[in-house]
Amino acid sequence: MTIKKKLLLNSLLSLIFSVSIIAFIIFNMLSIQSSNQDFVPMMMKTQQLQAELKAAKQSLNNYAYSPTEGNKQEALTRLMDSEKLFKQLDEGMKQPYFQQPFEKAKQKFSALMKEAKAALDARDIAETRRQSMRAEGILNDLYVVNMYVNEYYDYMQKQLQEQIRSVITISFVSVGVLLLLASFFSIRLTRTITTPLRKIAANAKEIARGNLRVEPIVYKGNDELGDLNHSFTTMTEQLNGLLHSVDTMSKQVEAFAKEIEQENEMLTEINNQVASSTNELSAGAQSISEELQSAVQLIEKMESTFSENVARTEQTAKYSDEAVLAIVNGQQALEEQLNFIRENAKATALIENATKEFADYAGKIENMAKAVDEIASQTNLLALNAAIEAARAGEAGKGFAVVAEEVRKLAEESAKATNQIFEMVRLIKRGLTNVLNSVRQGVEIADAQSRAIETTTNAFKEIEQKVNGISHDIQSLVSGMAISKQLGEQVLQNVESISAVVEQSAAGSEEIAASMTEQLQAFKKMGEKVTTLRQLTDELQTMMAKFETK
Amino acid sequence: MKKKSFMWMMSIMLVLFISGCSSSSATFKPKDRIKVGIMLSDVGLGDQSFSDSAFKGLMKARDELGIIFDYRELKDTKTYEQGLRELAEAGNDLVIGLGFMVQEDLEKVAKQYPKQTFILIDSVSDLENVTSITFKEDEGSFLAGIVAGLITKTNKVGFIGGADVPLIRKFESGFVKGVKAVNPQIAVQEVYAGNFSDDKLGASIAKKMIANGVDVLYAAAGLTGVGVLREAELNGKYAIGVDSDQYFHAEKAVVTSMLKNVDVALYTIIKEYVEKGSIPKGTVQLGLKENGVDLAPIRVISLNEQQQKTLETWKQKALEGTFE
Repeated sequence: MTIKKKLLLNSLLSLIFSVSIIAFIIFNMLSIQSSNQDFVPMMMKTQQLQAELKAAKQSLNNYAYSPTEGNKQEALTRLMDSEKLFKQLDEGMKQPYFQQPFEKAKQKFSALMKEAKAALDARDIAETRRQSMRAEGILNDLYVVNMYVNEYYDYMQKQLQEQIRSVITISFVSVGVLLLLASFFSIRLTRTITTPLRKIAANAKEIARGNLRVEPIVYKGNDELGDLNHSFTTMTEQLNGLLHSVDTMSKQVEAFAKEIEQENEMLTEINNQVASSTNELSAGAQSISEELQSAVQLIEKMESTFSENVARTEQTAKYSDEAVLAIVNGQQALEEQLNFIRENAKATALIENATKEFADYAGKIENMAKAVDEIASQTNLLALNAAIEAARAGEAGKGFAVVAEEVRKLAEESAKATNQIFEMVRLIKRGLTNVLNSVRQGVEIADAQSRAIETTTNAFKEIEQKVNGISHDIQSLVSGMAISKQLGEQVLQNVESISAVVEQSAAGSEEIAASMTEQLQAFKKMGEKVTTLRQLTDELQTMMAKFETK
Repeated sequence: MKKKSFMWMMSIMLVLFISGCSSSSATFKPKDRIKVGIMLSDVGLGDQSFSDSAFKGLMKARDELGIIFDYRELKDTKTYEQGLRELAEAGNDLVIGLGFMVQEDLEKVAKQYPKQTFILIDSVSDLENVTSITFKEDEGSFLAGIVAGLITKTNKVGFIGGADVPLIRKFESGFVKGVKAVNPQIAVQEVYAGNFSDDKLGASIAKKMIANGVDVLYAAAGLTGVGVLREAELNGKYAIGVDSDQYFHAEKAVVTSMLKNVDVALYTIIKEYVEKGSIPKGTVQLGLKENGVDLAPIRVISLNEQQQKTLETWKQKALEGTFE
């Protein structure tokens, strides 16, 4: 069994005892309470019943002296109340000593109840008086009941007191026994734990003092203490071994430290040499850098001149571009003029056509006029014929002669008008011939103009081609200049990066030099540390000397 | 292992010890008390007479002397013998029989239970374990006779007896002496009804007497006597009750009653038993002196000073036992 289990069992047993004592007390107290609980109300009810019945008796008596309805009701109520109490008490009366008289009283009461009611209903005063007295018989039984009940209550109280007293006594005794047992077992248990512990503590004290040659403790128990003892013994052995190995190790460390010291000195020497070489290297790099700087300046100057050239060329290219633009504009204007001329020619052609058509119409008019002229001459002839005929007819034809005369006049006037139309048509024809002539002249002029403009256009085209060629050449010159400029810039960048590299390497050698200095200081410090280490191993040796190992 | 089993043993012992202590009790037994049993006479409780009076005496003893008592009635037990036997069997220290008619049955039972003490009221028994209590009815009746003599106007008074037996004769002789002591000229008419429980018979006898000029009637005849009292009331005459205060039977007629203080008698003898543990053997006679007999308060009429004085004087003489 482990100590944990032992302790647990010990406290558990004490706890079980305590709980059983408490349970015993509670159980008894509960039974005491329950026994009291039922009885006291019964006792009170018994007394209440006595009082009630006495009142019933008195009211019956009152009725006998004064047979009023009020007294009758009073008596009946009292009797009912008593009956109720009898019923309530019926179950509680279990003890034979008071059950018997109670039963008697109950029977008598039921008889009384019946007879008293009958007497009251019959207004029989003598009988009522008799029943009033008969109630005394019941009261006497109840007196006995009450007396026994009271005695029984006293008896119960006494029993309870005894019970309580015994509970207290038992509790005290139990607690005493429990305390004794608990302390006995606790002391036993404590002793089994502390004795080996004390031994282990003594050994531990010895080891603390440096004496590792302690006698191991014999402990048979298979518990935590056994484990502790075992571990302690193992620890002691381990310590012994450890101290031995520490001793040898420290000696080795000392030798090793010496070697490190020597090697450290050599390393310092080498470092010093490296440092001086590095410094020289640094100086060389510095001069290269300076020369590179001046080269860079020259290239920069060259580049600026180059840039100016490029700018000028670009300006020229711009001018040629503008010239090309002007030529194109001229060409456009010429084309527009050519268009106008062509349109003019078209319009002239239209005029020519219209004039020709007009001439046709004029011819048609002439034809029509000829037709009219013929009609007029025939009409004239007709009129002459008519006049002749009229004259032949003598007097009868006189009026007709007038008409013929008039028709002849009309024919003459038509001939006149027709002649005027002929004259007009002739004039129009002449005018039209003039127009046609002038139109033809216009067409010819326009053709000549058109041809001239075409020549100009061709000339313009040639100029444009030439100017374009010039412009192209200038453009290629500009791009060439730009490329040259880029190349120059690249050269400059390369030179600058070379210069930066040289500067960096110079800085790097300076840093190396600085690092070398630091390294030297570190080596010095390391030397110091090694010395300290040696001192420490010396101290360790003296410390080790204090332990007495096996 | 040894230790473990020892611990368990201890714990089991402790638990047993605790549980063992919880059961301990003696059964309930009530206190030892003096018990008295009484066999009530015929009508039983509520008769407004002997039984009630005896009951009151026992109640007083119960309340003042701490005894307990039980009672039996004829209507329940059918015979006196049965009731008395029940009381004897119930272990009553004193068993009381009330009335001379109980005597025969009481003697039977007393023989069967010779170790118990019996009390016979109103009659005399020769048995060893029976104490007889009798009343000097003649002393009480003498006072009743004085009152009758004082209040009669016709100088005619009547006596109605229940039966022509020595006990009732005692009533009669005392009454006649009383009446004659006031005025020897007064005539006393006497009738024995031969029945104690016929009130109609009583009434008819009374009627006859009243017709004969009787104006004060004294009845010693149980229920028959009650008939007499009521008849007197109906005719506006006076009457005197017997045994207990019978005023309520005829509140316009009953001037007084000759009281037989059975309650006093029982209380006295129980007190003696409680105090001494025994009662006198043989016969105990209770008279005016012992408060065994008495007159009820005068009602209906009031005696004048002269009459009062006369009554007191005779009462004094009776107390001294020198009235004869």
